[in-house]
Amino acid sequence: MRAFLAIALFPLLAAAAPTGLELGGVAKLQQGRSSTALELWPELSFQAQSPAARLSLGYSPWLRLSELSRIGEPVRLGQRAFLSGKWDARPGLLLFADQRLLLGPGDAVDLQLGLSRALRTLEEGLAPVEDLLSSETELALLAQLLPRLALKAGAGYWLSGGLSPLSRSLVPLHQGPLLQLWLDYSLTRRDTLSSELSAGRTFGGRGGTFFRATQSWQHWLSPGLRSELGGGAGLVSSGPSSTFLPVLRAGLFHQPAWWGQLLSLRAALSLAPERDSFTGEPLHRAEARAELSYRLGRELSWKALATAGRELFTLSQREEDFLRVGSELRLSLGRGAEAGAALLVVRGARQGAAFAFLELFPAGREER
Amino acid sequence: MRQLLVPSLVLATVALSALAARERSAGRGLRKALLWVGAALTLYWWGVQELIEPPG
Repeated sequence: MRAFLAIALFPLLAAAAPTGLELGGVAKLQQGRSSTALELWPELSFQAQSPAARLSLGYSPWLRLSELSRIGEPVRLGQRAFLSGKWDARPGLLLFADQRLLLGPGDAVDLQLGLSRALRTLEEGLAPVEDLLSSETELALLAQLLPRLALKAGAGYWLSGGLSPLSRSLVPLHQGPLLQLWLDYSLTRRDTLSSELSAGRTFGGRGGTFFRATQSWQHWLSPGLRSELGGGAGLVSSGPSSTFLPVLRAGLFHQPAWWGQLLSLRAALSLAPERDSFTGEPLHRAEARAELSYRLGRELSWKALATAGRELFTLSQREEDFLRVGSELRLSLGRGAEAGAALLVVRGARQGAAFAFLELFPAGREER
Repeated sequence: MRQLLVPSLVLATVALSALAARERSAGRGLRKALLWVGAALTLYWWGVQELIEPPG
């Protein structure tokens, strides 16, 4: 009932909207191995903009009608809210603030149609968790310290896990801070040296600490083609034990240099300590990743993604191989509307899904 | 940890709100806005802590 009330209120709120209030949404029909589900995510957002600042506030309920073949299946409801701010405080200084809140069944956590996130949700199999809470706060600044030296610093705090005792037994509640620091130094017009420091601590759950220091070199082979090579060291600590781990990174990125270029390609290899986004457990991940997107005219685009690798969970000493493959076809209908279809396969959990979707968002909406 | 965290968030919310309300000098827009953002975020996290572990 709450779900229907929330959705019925949307057109009323939009009709009485002051300038800057926008109504959008996503509808997705998903076919899994043994079930069919229809998901609806209406979104109400408020945008305020001045020459130097931009603020977005939004709320989006998530409604899932599962097992359409059966009558009487309960409707499931989740909630999402976000706040995002960007401020050009003075020449050479940009400030960012980002806040996201997700509350609802585990499968509502993946509210974006991004292939990598959808694949991750399928693999984790979070659907049985009925009340999951996820909250992330990030504050960041980007400062041009010298003509060739730029600094980016970020501080964040996150919390994730089940709310009820049953949900907490499946996904323990955990939280903690994350700090990141980048320094970019332009050696020449084609070469940049980057230093990165990251540190995070998790309280609760399978908590632990991780620290990572990376030095990388980026070289532009042509205006649209960039290569990257990096290395460093990381420290992962879970319980009484601490482990030093190597960090390696190599990649080749072909990005469209101007509107109308058709092919975009990203290929990367990485080895680094990370934090598992669902359990908070520190892990060491080796990953090969390739993404290809191809624009067929102004309206139709195709994207394919493949990721393979191995994760070593340092506390539970589990080792998991993974392979995720996805493909998405997207058609622009104009005025911010897009429709498409996607196919996802996850080898680790032997899961896969196919879905069709329709998105309706204002043309000026920023990617989140 | 909660015994330290919740009182710290309450104190930070009150302190940041008071400082933001007092900040009226011309040319201090950046500092005032940052104080208000800080106050809003500490209030938000206080609410989240109460949601995950209600008092009592």
